[in-house]
Amino acid sequence: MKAEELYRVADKVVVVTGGANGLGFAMARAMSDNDADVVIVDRDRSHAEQAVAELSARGGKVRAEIADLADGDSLRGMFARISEREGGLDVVFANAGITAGPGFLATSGDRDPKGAIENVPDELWEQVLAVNLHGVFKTIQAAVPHLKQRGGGSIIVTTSTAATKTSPMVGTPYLATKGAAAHLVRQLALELARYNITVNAIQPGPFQTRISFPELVPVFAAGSPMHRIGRPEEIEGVALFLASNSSRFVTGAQYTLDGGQLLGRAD
Amino acid sequence: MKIAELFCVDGQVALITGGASGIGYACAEVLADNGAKVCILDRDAAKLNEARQRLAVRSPDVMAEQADVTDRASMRKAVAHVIDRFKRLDIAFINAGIGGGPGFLDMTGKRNPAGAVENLEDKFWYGHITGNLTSVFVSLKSVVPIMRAQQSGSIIVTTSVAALKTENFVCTAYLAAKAGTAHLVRQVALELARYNVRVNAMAPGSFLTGIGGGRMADPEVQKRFAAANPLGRMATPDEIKGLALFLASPASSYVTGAQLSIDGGGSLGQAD
Repeated sequence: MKAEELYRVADKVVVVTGGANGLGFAMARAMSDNDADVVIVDRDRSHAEQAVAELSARGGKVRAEIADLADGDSLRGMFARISEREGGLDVVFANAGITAGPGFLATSGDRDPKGAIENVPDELWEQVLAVNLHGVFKTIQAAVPHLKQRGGGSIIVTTSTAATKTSPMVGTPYLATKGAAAHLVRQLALELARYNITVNAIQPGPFQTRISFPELVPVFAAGSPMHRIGRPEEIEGVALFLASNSSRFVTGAQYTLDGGQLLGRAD
Repeated sequence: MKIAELFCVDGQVALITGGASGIGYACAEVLADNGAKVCILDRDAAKLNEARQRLAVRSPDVMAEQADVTDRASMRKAVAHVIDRFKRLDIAFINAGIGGGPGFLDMTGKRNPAGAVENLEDKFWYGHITGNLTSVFVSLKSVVPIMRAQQSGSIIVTTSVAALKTENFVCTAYLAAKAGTAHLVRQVALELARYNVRVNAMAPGSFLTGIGGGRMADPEVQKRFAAANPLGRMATPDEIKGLALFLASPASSYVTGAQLSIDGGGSLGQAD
C-alpha cells in the first residue's frame, strides 16, 4: 500500500489544542498539508489567527477556536459547534501544555531554591495542573460523545519523557501532570476501546519549541545520544500515523520521540 | 509536509528476516509498494520462493535469500549478497522469531502442566533463547558494520507485548527471550545513536500469523485472544504496515531506542 493511502487523513475532522505554536502547530500543519479539516484551539487569539493564516496560505482547510481549557462547559459547546459545522469529529490532539518553571537543579547542576518542593508556589501548581491535566481531561470529556456518535476516532495526547523518568531541571508540577496524563491515557484507552476510540500518547523528549527554556537547549543536546534536540517538524510522522487508519490496532500506547533521551547518555 | 515525502523510502535498500510470512512479509510488502529495494530472508526455501514471487509482482527490485538467523555464517553470506546486488543497506527489519507455545495456563484458563516452569526442558529453553534473542544479536552483528560505515540506517526489531508484561497463555521462555531482546534494542540504540543509526522495536500484541506452529489458525484460540483484547479482536498482519513504514522512513528521524506497542490495548488489562 502506498504511503498516501496508508496515512490518509484527507477530510478527517481534526482538532488540535495548543495548535498555534510548537508541536501543536506542527501537528496541525501535518494534518492540513494532507487535506484534513483542521480546527486549531488556542487561548491566544492573535497566535491562533496567525497560525490559521500561515496554514491557509499553504492551501490548508483550517479554522481557529479560542477556548479556555479549564472551562468544561465552553469546551463542550465548542466541540458541539465543530461537530455540527464539520459534520462530525474524527481526531483530537489534546496537546496544549505549559511549563512549570525551574526544576530543583539549575543548568549549572547546582540546587535552584526556586524549584525546591517547599518553594513551588501553590498558584503555579494549580496553573500547571489546570492546563496539563485538567485541560486534557476536559478536552477528552467534551470530545468523546462526538467520537462515540461517529462510531470511533483517535485521541492523541502529548505527554513527555518527563512522564516516564525524573528530570531534575524540569519543574516538579510539570512532571506530576505529565505522569498523570500518561496514565489517564492508558485508563481511557481501556474504557474506550469497545467504542473503537483509540487513545494514545506522543511522548516527546527535548524539542525546540516556545515552551522550552533556551538555556536548557545545549544541556539537553549534550545529554542526548543523538547530540541534538528535536525539530518540531519531526513530530509530523507520528502525528499522521496515529491520526490515520493505519494505527487502528494501536491504543493505550506511549510513542516516544526523544532521540534516545530515555536511554541515558553515551559519548 | 506531504505524506509521500515524509514517509519516502524510494530507492532505499531493506532487508527483512523472517520475511516470507506474517508480520515480516507485510513489512516487505509495504516497503516494496513504496519503492524500496527489498531482500527477504527466511529459512524455509519453499515459503521464501513463494513470497519472492508475490513481491516481484509489486516491485522489480526484490531478492530472496535462504538464511538461518541463528547461524552466523549463513547471515553473513545473505547480507553480503544484498550488498553485492544493491550496494548498501538502509533498513533492516530483524523480525524472525519462533512462537512461544502455551503458557502455564491453557486457553480455557486451567493450569497447563507442560508450561509449568519446573517442567520446561533445558532444550526447549535454549531453543527459545537462541531463536528469539541470540538470533537478534546475530542479525545485528551482520548488519551493523554496514550501517555504521554508512553513518546511516534504521533497524527495527520485532519484540512483543510479552516483553513488556506477563502473559498467562504465553510460554515463559518466549517472555524472557523477548524481554531480553527489548532491552538489547535499547542498549544498541544508545551505542549507535552517534553513528546516525536508529534502533527501535515494534511490540505487537495478538496478530493472526503462522507463528508458534500455527496455533493461531485454531478458531477457538483466536476467539480467546480476541475476547481478551480491549478492542475485541486480533490484528491482521497488514495492520503492521503503518508502524513499519513510519519506523523505516525519515518520518521517525528523532525516534531511537523506543518500544512502540501495537496491541489493541492488550497490555492495558481487560475491560468488558
